[in-house]
Amino acid sequence: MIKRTLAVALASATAVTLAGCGGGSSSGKNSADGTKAGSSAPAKSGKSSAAAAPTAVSTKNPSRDKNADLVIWADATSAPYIKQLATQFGKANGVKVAVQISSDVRGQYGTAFKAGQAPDVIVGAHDWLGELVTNGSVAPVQLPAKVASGFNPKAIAATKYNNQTYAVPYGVENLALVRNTKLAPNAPKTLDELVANGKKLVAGKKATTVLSNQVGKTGNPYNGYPWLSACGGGIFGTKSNGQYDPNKLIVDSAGSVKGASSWAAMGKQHALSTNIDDKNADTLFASGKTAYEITGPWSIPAFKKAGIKYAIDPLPSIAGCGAMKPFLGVQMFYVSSKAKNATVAQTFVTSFLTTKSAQETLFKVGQRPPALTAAYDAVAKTDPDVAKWAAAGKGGQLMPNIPAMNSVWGPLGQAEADIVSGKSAPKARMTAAQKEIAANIAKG
Amino acid sequence: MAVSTETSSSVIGSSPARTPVWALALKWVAIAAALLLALYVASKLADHGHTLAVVGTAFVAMCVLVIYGTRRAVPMKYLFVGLALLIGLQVWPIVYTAMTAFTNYGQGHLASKEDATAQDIAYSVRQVPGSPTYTLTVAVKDGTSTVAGPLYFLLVDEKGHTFVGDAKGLNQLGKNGLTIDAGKITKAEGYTTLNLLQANKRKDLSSFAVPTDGGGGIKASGFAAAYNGKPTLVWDKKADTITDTTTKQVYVAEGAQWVPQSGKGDALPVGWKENVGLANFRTLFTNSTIRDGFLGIFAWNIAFSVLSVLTTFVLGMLLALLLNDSRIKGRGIYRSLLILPYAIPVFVSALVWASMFNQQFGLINNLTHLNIDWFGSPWAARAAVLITNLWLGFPYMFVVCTGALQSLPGDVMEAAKIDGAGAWRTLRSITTPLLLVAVGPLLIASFAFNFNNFGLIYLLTKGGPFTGGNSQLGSTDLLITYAYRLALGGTNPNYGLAGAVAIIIFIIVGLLSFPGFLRSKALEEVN
Amino acid sequence: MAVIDPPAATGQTAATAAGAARQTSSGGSAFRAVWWRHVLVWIAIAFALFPILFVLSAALNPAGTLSTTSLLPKNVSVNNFDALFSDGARPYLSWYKNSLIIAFVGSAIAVFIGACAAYAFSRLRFRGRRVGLLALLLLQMFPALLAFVGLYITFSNVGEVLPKIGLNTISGLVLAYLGGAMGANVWLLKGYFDTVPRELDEAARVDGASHARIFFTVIMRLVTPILVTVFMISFVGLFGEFLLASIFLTDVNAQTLGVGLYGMTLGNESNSLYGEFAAGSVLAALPIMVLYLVFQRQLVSGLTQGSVK
Repeated sequence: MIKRTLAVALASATAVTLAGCGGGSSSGKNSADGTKAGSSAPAKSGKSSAAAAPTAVSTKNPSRDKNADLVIWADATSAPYIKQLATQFGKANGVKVAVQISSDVRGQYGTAFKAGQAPDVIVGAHDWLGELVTNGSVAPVQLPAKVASGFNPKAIAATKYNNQTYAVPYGVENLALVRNTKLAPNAPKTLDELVANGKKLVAGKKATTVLSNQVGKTGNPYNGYPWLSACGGGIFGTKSNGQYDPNKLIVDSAGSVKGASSWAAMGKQHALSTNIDDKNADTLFASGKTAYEITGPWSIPAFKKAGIKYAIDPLPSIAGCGAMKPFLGVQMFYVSSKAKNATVAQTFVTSFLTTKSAQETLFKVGQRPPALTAAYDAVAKTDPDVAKWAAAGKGGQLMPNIPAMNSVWGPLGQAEADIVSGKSAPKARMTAAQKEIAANIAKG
Repeated sequence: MAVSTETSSSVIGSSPARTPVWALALKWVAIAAALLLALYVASKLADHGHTLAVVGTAFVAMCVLVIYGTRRAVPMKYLFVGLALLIGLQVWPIVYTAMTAFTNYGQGHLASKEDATAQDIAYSVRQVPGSPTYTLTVAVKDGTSTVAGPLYFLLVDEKGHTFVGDAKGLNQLGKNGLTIDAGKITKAEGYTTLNLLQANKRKDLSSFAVPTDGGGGIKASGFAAAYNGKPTLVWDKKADTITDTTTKQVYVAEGAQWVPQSGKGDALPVGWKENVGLANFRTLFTNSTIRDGFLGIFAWNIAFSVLSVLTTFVLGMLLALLLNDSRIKGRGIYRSLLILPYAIPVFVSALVWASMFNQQFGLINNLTHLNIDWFGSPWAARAAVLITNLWLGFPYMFVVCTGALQSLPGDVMEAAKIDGAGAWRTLRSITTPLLLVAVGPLLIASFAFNFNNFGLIYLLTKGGPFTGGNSQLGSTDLLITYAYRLALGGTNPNYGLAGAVAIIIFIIVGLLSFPGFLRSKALEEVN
Repeated sequence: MAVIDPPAATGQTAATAAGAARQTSSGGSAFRAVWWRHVLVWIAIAFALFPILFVLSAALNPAGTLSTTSLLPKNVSVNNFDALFSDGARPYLSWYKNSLIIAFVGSAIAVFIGACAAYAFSRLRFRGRRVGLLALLLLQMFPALLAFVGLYITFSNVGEVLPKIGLNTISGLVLAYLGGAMGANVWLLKGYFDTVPRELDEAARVDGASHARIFFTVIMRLVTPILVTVFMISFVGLFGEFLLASIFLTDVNAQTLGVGLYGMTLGNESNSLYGEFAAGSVLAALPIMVLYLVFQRQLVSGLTQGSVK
C-alpha cells in the first residue's frame, strides 16, 4: 500500500512540476494533440493505474495461475512428467492443475514468494531446504510413519530440517564412474589403476584425456568432494542430531588435506584439469575422447544419443585412503508456506506422489533411482542402470542442506582449482579456504 | 503511430492550415477513452480497497485532461506518456531498491516479526508422541453451507475407531449411518462431506484444529489425513520471549532473530525484517576486504568500461564509414552479416566464447597454436573479456553510426572535399566531431552500461581468475560482480546490502560521467 | 543522395581512394576504387562470423554436443532442428512468436514515445529541459539488475488489480520494457532531430501549422533513418532479453526465446540439449538479420532529400 501510494504521489508531483513548466512554443491555432494521444498507447500513467494493455498484444491471457486449483513450478526437464501426473490427479479429484516451467526454480521462487506470487508446489533438490526454511517459505508436510518407512531412509533424512519434515522425495542422484566399455573393458578398483589405464589410452592415441571430471577455472566442490570423503575429510562435521554443523568446519582437517593432495597429484598427471568444465566434460566422453567420466544420471541421454557403449561403476578407491564416496542429492516436492491452495497441494504431495505408480512415472525424469523402495524395485527390474547408480551412491553422505553451504561453494571451489592447477600447495590452500569459509559464515 | 499522411501534402501549402474536424474529434474520443479507462481502474482499485491509489488515478486522469484537453503545456503533450512510464516502471523500482538499503531485508529476514514468529512456531509443530494418525473426511453439518458452516472432522484411526471432531473437542462417533470405504468415511448421516475442491476453498481449514488433551490439536494433513500435532514453541508476547516446551530453552529477540538467552544452541530459523539505518553503508565502508580490494577493482572497472566503449565505437564507426559508399555492391548483405553478433542472444555468445577460450580444447589456442591459459591468468583473462565484448558490442556502434552518418550535412562534406582536404583530415576534423555530437551521449550511456556489465563478466569468468589464495577479489571483477558476490553470495543473501551497493555504484558512475555531461552540454550548444 | 566521402582506416590507402572516388565513375572503375573496402569488410565479417559458425556447426552436429575444437561438423544432419520443433516440453515456435510480438510492439511504441520526447527536447523550449535530458542519462547509471525485484513487485501489485497486465502476461512484459523507452535513445533521436533545419518548421508555422502537424508531417518524414535505427536497437534488445522476461513469464507457452533458450543452458541436463540449443540460437538470429536487410533503404535515405529544400 505504502509503496503504491508513494509511487503515485511521486508520479503526480513530477507531472505537476513538469506541467507547470510547460507552455512556450505553442503557436498553432488549433491543437491536434489528440491525434497523438489517441493513436499511440492511450495516455495513461502511474504504476497502479498503469496504461491500458495494447490490446493487440494480449493474444490470450496465459495467466492460468488465478483459475488453477494447484500451481506447480518445475524445470523444463521434469515438467512433462509432472504434468502427466498432475493431469491424473486433477481428473481423479476434479481440480485444475497448472504446471509451469521456470528456468531457475530456486531463484524465481524466492522472488515470487517475496511478492506474494508463489506457486503452491515447487520441485527441486534437497539442498535448498535450509534456505527455504530460513525464509519461512516452505510448509511442513506430515508423512505418517507407515508411509515414510516405505522410502529410502536417506531420502527421508533429506526432507528433514531441525527434525521437521518438509518435503516428499522422488529420486536420489549421485556421481558414479561412467566408463566407455570399448576403450576400457574393466572397471578400475583404484584411482591409480584408472589413471594408469587412462594414460595408456592417451599414449596410444585412443583417447586425448585420462579422466573427464568437471573442475573449471573456479573449481567444482560437488565433483571434487569424493576425494575428500575418501580420505575421511569433508566440509562440515555433524551435530548430535546428525545434522551438519556450520560451526564445525573440517575443510582443513587431515583427511581433507590428504584428499586435496590427491587432487594435486592427479593435476600433475593431467588426470584432473581446470580446462575441463561443465561445458566440455560430457562432450569429451560422448565423443570418445576419454574412457572415464565422473558424472551423474543426467549425462546419460547425451551418451546414448552419441551411441557410446558405457558402464556405470562405483567410484574407485584412493591408495592410502578409502573408497571415494559421492554426495547424495535428493529431488523432491516442496509445498509453499503461502500456498493459495494449501489443501490441494498437501493432498497432492502426501497422498498422491507417495504412490508407487507416481514414483515410477517420476523415474522418467532423468532416470534417477526412485526414493520409494517399491518403485525402485519395480524400475530396477527393467532398467539395469538403476541398481548401478544406487550401488555407486552406497555409503554416500547427503549434500549439506544448511544455508551455510552457500558460503562454501566459492572458496572451496577456488581452492580445488588452485590445487589442481598446481598454483597452490594443498595444506596451505585448504587452511586458507577454511578461514575464508568461516569468515563468510560468521558474516551471516 | 497511424497518423494520416493524406493531409501532409497540403501542410506546407499556402493556405492557412487548419486542424481538420476529424482530428479534433479523434483527439476528444481518445481523451474520453483515457478518462473512462481511469474510471475503470479507479473502480477496480476501490474494490481492492486501495483508497490512495484511487486518488492517484484521479490525479493522473486530471493531468491527461489538463495536458491534452487544453492548449497549455505543449511540451508535456509530448513527454507525458513516456515520463509516466519512466517514473512508474524505472524510477519507482530504483527508489524501492534504494529504500531497502536501510533495512536488513534478505534471506531469513523477509517478513514482519509477527509473521516470522508465527512461521517459527508453525515449524515447531510435531506429532504428539504415541498419538494415532487418522484418515480424514472434512464435513459440515447438514443444512449448513459448505463454504461457511462450522467444520467437522470425521476421523478413522489406525485401529478402525471412528471419531468426530469440532472446534470444541474430539468425540466417539457411532458406526451407524457411516459408510466407510478403504478405511475412510465417505458418507455420514447428518453431515455433508466436502470434496477436495470445496475443502480447498475453506481457507480456515489450515488453521483449524480439534483440541486434544495436553494442548495438542488434530490438524488436517492435506484433505484425506489428519494427525495430532502440537507446537513446541510458545510465544510470551508480554515478555517478548519464546520458550521451547520440550527443551525449556528460552529465546529472546536480538538482531532481528530469536536467539537462545543462554547463548548456547541455534537461533530459530526465521528472522524478520527491520530498519537498520545506515548499518549496511557502515559495513561497506569498514569491511577490510572491500577496502583492500576496492582500488584494484575500481581501476580495472574503469579501464574495462573505457576500453570497451572505445574499441567498439572505433570499430563500429570505421565499418560504418567503410560501407557508407553507394558504389559498394552488396552493402545490404554486408551490413546484415556484420550485425549478426548483435542478433545472437548474449548468453549464447558468452557460452561460445568461453568454449573458444578454453586453454586445452578451445578453438583460439588450437588455431593459433598458442597455449595461453585465457581464463587462468589475470591479463589474458582481461584481454579475453575485452575481445569478447568488442565482438558483442561493435555491431551496436555500427548500427548507431550508420544511422547517425545520414545526418551529416552533405554540403559540408562536399565543401571539405573541394577544399582539398584529404580523407584522413575529413575524418578527423569533420566526420568524427559531427558524429560525436549525435552519438556522444550514447557513448556515455554505453560507458554506464559497461561499467555495470554484470552479465558479460558473470557468464564468461565469474570475476576470475582469483589469485592470492582467496575467492573474493577476482582479476576481472567489476564493482557490480564483486558487490553481488559480497551481498548475495554469502550464507544469507542480503538485499539490503545489495541496495546500499547499488546506491554507491550509482553515485560513482554518476560522478565519473559528469565530465561527459559537461562536454555534451558544450556540444549541444553548437546547435 | 549526398556523397559522403570515404574516410578510411589507414592514411595512405585512404588518400588514393579519395582521389579515385572524386571521379564520377562507371561500374568498373568504381570497383577499382572500392575493392579495398570489400577486403576490409570481409575481414570484419570473418571476425563477426566465426563464433557463429561454431554455433551453426553444433546445430548441424547430429551428436548434439558443442564440439570443442572444430569449426566444421564432421557429420551434417538436421536432427537437432527436428528435435527442437518436436520437443513437447519446449514449444520453440510459441517462444518465437511471443518474442516477435513483444519485440515488434515494444519497439514500435518505444520509437514513438522516444520520437515524441525527442521532438519536445529538440524543438520546444521549456524549463527543466536540460535537467530532464541529463536525468534521462543519469538514470541509465543505476545497476538495473538490482532494481528487478522492485519492478517485479510493482507488477505483482498491478496484477492484483488489473490481471491483464500483471505478471505472466505478455502485455505486462511489454509495458515493463516500455519503462525504458525514455532512455539513451532519446538522446540519439534528439541529436538527429537537431540536424533537421529549423527553417522547415518556421515555414510551416508561418503557414499556420500547429506543432502537432509540424511534428507528424514535417519532422517525422525527415528522420526516418534514425527512427529505423532506434527501432532496430530496441528490437534487438527486446528480442533476446531474458533476465526480466524469465522472472516475468512462468507459463511455458507464454515464454520468449530468450527465456526458453537460457533455460536450456541451466542445470545438469543442459549438456544433452546442446544440439537443440544451438539450433534454436541459430534460428533466433534470423529475424534481426532479415529486418536489417529490409530496412536498408529507409536507413540510408530520408534526410538528405528533405534537407535540400
